[in-house]
Amino acid sequence: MRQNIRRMAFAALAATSLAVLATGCGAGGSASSDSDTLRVAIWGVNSDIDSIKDAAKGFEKEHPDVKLKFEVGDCGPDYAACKKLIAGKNMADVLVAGSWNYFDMVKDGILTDLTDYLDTAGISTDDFTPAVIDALKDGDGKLYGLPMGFNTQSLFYNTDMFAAAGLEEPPADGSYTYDDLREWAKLLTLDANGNNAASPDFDPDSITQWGYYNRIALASEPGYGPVLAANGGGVLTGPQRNECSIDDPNTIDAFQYLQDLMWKDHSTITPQLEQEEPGYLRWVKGQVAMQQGSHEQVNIVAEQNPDLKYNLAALPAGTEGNATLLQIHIWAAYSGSEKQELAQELVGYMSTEGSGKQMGLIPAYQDRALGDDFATAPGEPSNIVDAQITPASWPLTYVNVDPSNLWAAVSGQDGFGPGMDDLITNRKTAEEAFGGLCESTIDPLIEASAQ
Amino acid sequence: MSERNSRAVRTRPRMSKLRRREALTGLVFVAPVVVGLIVFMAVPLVVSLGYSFTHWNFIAPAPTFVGLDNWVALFHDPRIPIVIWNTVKFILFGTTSFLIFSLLAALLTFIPRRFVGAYRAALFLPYVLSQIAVGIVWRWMFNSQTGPLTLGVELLGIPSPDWLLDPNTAMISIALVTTWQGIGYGMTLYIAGLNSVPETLLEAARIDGAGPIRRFWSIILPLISPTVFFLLVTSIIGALQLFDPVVAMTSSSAGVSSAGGPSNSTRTIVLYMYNQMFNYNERISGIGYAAAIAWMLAILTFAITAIQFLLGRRFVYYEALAAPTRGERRRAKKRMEALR
Repeated sequence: MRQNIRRMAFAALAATSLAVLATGCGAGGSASSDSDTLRVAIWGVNSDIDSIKDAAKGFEKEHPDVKLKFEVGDCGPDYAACKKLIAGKNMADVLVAGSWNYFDMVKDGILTDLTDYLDTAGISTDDFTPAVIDALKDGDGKLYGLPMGFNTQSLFYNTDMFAAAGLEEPPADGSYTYDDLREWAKLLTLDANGNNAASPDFDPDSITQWGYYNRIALASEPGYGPVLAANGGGVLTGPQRNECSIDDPNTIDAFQYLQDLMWKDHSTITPQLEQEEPGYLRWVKGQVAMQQGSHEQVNIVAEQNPDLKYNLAALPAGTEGNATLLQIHIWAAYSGSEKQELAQELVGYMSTEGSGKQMGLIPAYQDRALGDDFATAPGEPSNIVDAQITPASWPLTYVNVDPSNLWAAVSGQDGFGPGMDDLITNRKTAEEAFGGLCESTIDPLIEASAQ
Repeated sequence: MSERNSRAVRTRPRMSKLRRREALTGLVFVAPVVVGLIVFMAVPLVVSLGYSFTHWNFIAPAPTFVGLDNWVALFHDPRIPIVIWNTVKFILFGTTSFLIFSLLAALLTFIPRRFVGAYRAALFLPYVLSQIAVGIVWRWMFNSQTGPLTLGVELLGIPSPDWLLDPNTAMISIALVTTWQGIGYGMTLYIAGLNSVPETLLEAARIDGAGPIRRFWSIILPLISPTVFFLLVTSIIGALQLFDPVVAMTSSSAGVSSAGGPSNSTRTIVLYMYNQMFNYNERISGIGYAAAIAWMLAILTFAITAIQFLLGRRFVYYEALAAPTRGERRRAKKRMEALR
C-alpha cells in the first residue's frame, strides 16, 4: 500500500514536471481568448508606434467595448517573424505588411480577402491613390490589404550648399535630367582645398563634402530602382515582375551611371563610406549636398538637425522619362483570426477615416495627402506636393511589390547579389557584373520558384 | 532443486527499504532533466527527421508527405557544396586561430603577476557579449576606408585589404572576430588544464636541462592535450553552426536573405538552412528542406566528431588526469605479482 502511494506520488511529480514544461512551451503560444481584445502587430521607431496609436484612438472611441492591444515586433517588415508567430499559434489579429512582402503573405493565404468587407462597408477603391491601390490587387483584382500610406523616393537637397556653389535649386517637378544631377554632384563635391570634383586639382582622397547619396551603396532597391526605371531598365520587369531585365542594355547603362558617380566622379557615397556612417545621416549633418530618399528624412531632420536648410524635388528624367519608386505600408487582417469582423473593421478604419499621420507616410485615401495630414502640416518643405505626391501618378512610377515572390532569391546570394557587390565596390563594371546574368542565373531561379 | 533454491533463482535480490527510498529520491531529482531532455532534445530530433520527408511552409494546416524529395534535392542542389566549403573555410581559419590564440592568452596570463586577474577579465569580457552586437561593432572596425583596423594596417605601410567587401578576406575577417570573442573562454579552460600539470615534472625537466620550448612541447602540451581536444571538438561543432556573426557582418538592409556575401563567400550551412526555411519561395523551400539540411549538418557533425575521437585516441594523453581503467589495474596487479 505504502509502495503504491509512493508510486502514485512519483507519477504525480513526473506529470507535474511534464505539465510545467508543457506550459513553458505553450507560454504565449495561444491567441488571446479575450473576446473584447483585438491584437495588432505594429513596428517602427517610437514616433511610428505613437502615430499609429494616436490614429487608432478614433476607432477605440467608436468601439468603447473593444480593447486594442498593440504588439511591437518584426512581424510586418519581416515575414519570417510572422511565420514564427503563426507556427506558434500566436499571431495577432491585424498586422501592417510592407509592399515588399505583401504578395508573399497573399500567396500563403495568411491575409483575409477584403472584397466582401469593402462592399459591405461601402469603401470604394476609387478613393485611394490609383498607383497604390492597383499595386495591391492580385491577378483576380482582389484586395487583401488597404494602404496605411506610402513613401515616394525624391531628391532631398541642401539649399545652402547649392547657393554656395552658385547653382540654381533643382526644379521641384523633376524637369531636369540625370546628366544634370551628375554635373551638380561633381560641382557640390569638395576636397580639403575647396576644389570641386570637376576641377583638375581635385583630390579624391581628401573629400570634405560629397555631392550625392543614393542607397545603391546599400544595394537597396529604393536607391537604384528609380534610376533604372527612368532609363528604361529594371531588374525584374513585367506586370508580375517575373521577367529578368538585369542584363538589358538600358539597365546596364543605368547601373554603370551609378557606379561612375561613386568611383569615377568620386561625388557619391561609396559602400565603404556608408559602412562608416550612413549616407542619409551625412546628409542630415550637412556633409552631403543631395540624397535620394523618402519622406522619413523630413522627420529625421526635425529630430536631429532642425537648423538644416533643405528642400526637395521630384526625381529627374532619364532616357525614358521621370520615374520614382513607391513603398506602401499595408493594413491587413490575419486570415486565421477568430475576430474577423472586428479585424477587418479596424483595417478599414485605419486606412480611411483614421488614415493620415501614420508612420510619417503619405496618406493614400482621398485627398488627405494635400491637407493637414501631410502636405500642409507644420514643418513640411515647400516643394512637398510636387516632389512627393505628384510623382505617384507618373507612368513610369512603380511600387516594389513582389507578385511572383521572387525578390528574396533573385536579389540574394543566389541571384544578382554577388554581381551587385562587385559593382558597388568597383571590382567589376556593370557589363562584367550583370552581362548574361539572366540566362545563367536569374531565369533558372524564376523557373525553380514555386509559381 | 529444492523449493528454497528454486525460489532463490526466480526471485531477484530485494532492495532494502533504504536503497529503494534512495533510488526513488534520485529518480525524482533527475526527472526534470530527463523530461527536459526528452521534450526539448529527443522529441524535436525525431520530429525534425519526420519533417525532412515533408513539405511545409508553416502556414498550411499540415505538412505534406513528399518521401525522399527533400533528400534527393539536397544531393542535387548546387549551393550545398558552396556552403559546406565556406563552413570548412571558417573551421580552418576560425578553429585554428581560436585554439592557438586562446593558448597564448592562457600562457601569458597563467604566471601570477600584478593585475593578472584584470587581464583575464578583460580577455573574457567579449565572450559574454551578444554576437550580433559584436558583429555590428566589428563591421565598423573593418571599414575598408576609415576603419581602425584598416588605418592600423596602413600605418605599418601595408596596403589594407577590403576585409568584409572582398570575397578572399571576408571569411577570414569573420573568423578573426569569433576568435577574438572566444579567446576568454578558451583561455579559462587552458588555465585549468595548465593548473593540472604537476610542478614536479617541470622541475625534473628543468634539472635535466630542458628549456622552456622543450618543456612546453614534451610536458605541458601532452598533459593539457585533453583540454586541447575538448576545445577542438566543441569549437568545430560551434563553427559548423556559424550564423549570427555572418548575418551581423554581411547582410544589407534587405535582411538575412542578403547575408552571405560578398559573392557567396561567407554563406554557411546554417545561413542557407535559414534562407530555405524563411526567405525563399522555391519549390522545395520550407521547413522540410531546411530539416533535411539540418540533418545533413548533424550527420556531418557526427562524422567529424567521430574522426576526431578516433584520432584523439592517438594524440590525447589522459593518463595524468584519469583514474586507471580496469584493464590497466589488472595489468598493474599482474606486474606486482610477477615482481613478488
